[in-house]
Amino acid sequence: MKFIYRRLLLFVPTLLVLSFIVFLMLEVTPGSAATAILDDAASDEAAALLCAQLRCDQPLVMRYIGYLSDVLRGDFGVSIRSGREVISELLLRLPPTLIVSSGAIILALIAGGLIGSLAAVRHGTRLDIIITLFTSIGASMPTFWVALLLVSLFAVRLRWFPVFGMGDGLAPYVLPILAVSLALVPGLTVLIRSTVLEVRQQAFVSTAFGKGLSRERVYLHHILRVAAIPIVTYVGMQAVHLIGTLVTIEVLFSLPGLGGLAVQAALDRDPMLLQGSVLTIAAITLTILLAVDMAVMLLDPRIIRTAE
Amino acid sequence: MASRIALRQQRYQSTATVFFPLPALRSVSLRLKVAVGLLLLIGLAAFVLPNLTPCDPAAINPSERMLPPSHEHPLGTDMFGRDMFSRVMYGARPTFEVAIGAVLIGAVPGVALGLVAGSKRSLFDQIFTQVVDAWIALPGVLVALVLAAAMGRSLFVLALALGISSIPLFYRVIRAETMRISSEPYVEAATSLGADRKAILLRHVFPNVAPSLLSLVTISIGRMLLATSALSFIGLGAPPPSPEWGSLLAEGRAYMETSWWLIWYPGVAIALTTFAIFLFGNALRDHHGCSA
Repeated sequence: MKFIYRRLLLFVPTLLVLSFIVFLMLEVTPGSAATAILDDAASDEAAALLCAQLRCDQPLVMRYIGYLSDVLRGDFGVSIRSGREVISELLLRLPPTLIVSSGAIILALIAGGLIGSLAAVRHGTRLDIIITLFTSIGASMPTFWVALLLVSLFAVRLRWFPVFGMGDGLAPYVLPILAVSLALVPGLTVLIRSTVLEVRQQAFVSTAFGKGLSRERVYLHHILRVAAIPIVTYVGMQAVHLIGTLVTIEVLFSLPGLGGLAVQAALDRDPMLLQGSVLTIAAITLTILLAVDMAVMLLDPRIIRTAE
Repeated sequence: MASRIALRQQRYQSTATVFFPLPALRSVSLRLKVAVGLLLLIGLAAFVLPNLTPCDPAAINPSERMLPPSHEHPLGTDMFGRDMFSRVMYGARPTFEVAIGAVLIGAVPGVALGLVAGSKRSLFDQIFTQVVDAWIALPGVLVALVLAAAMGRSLFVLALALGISSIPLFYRVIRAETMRISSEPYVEAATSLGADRKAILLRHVFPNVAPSLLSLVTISIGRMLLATSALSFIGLGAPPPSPEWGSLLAEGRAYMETSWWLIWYPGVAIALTTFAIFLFGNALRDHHGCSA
């Protein structure tokens, strides 16, 4: 348990360092975002407001500490374009991002698990060769292009789903979830295939079969349990890639999520909104990494035992 | 503690791995040959053909708008009557420039820092490793967004952003490799003979890190290619009329209902090029038999 607490505690300094990196990027880039935007701010009032928000009369470290303490109190500043509180904007945009990212991870695990296990069970057959060939090609295709092709097939030709973010309920989320999950499926499939093949050779699997357990039971309770560890680790190391993909896909489908918000803020040169949305997305990424580490520890008690 | 490091090490090392168990191409030398052949073809189309043919990718021809692929225009024409074949061909160069530039910007500092941090357990190593832990959680897209807001949209800013966000990856892999090689007997022997640290790093450690670095660089170029086109697709690359592959797709998106070729061929170009690069990196890795 101590180890788990330690990992949880470590989350705080990591998040702090990350927030400082984001802050620095906005501050010290040549012709820093803030001053560049100040120069072409529409009116003196807007410039004065922004200047007050960015604390442009204080030194860098003080500005960071000030921003941080505001953020901790839930104050992310005000958007200079819409004049609205950044925090309300962020909360509004959070649900679509969470739906798509969690949906994509779950779908990728199910699809990758099924296809990978199938390839492992039918190891060496024509089906296995076809699956591995498709995963290799899939890994080379840009996700946003696959998404475009999905839209042109399912939304434009077949009219099963709305084109680009229109419609009510969950229908607009189906294609984005499918597209983001396709970024993970090729790697997961190959990983699950090779792990299942490897685990199947081990003695405890033969024992389980020898006890007369059914094939389904051995797969679910013995093989998949052990195979789950590298699989979860893989999802963790792909989390950053997943978030990057998510931003692109949100823009492509015009989904009202955080990624779309960040891109809009960057193109509009809206500093407080940009800083707030980038920080939130980065925090989500860190949370996924933390959750993955937790899951690995729960799945593999040896890690905790060797640590203590 | 040890296991936390092991956990992390595993995560970052396998980040560099692209899985390619192509059964039809099991032999490494065959894979190398196929990859080199493909890359030569693509290089020819990207860097030699545009100089030889008189075709102009920006030539507007209103009478030939939205033509499907034909003998005259093998990949069709776009909404201004521009020839898609020459546009896709010209699009290769900016895409490659950004991808290779990004890898250089990421690899040079990443490798240098990784070598220094991995050769000796120091305070620098501990602090930088913590920083990298946070840094690695920052997707390249976000860095690109911030830089684009500050410095405007251009292909250089795109390469800079992608490069900056890939420094941690190079740092991680090179640091782990350096640590592994530093404990080899020949490094210990060199130390005991009184060789100084710099000479050991450059003459003994670096040459042995180089093979894994080579395949990591290759695979990174493929990844950067995908990222470059994705970012310029969402409007963070050079403003139009840049013929970069991602921008071509972004332009074609509005006409996808009627003109499938506009969103089909630039994507095929990206996928084929990435496939060739990944195959090359994969074959290199197996050829050297290294793990990263």
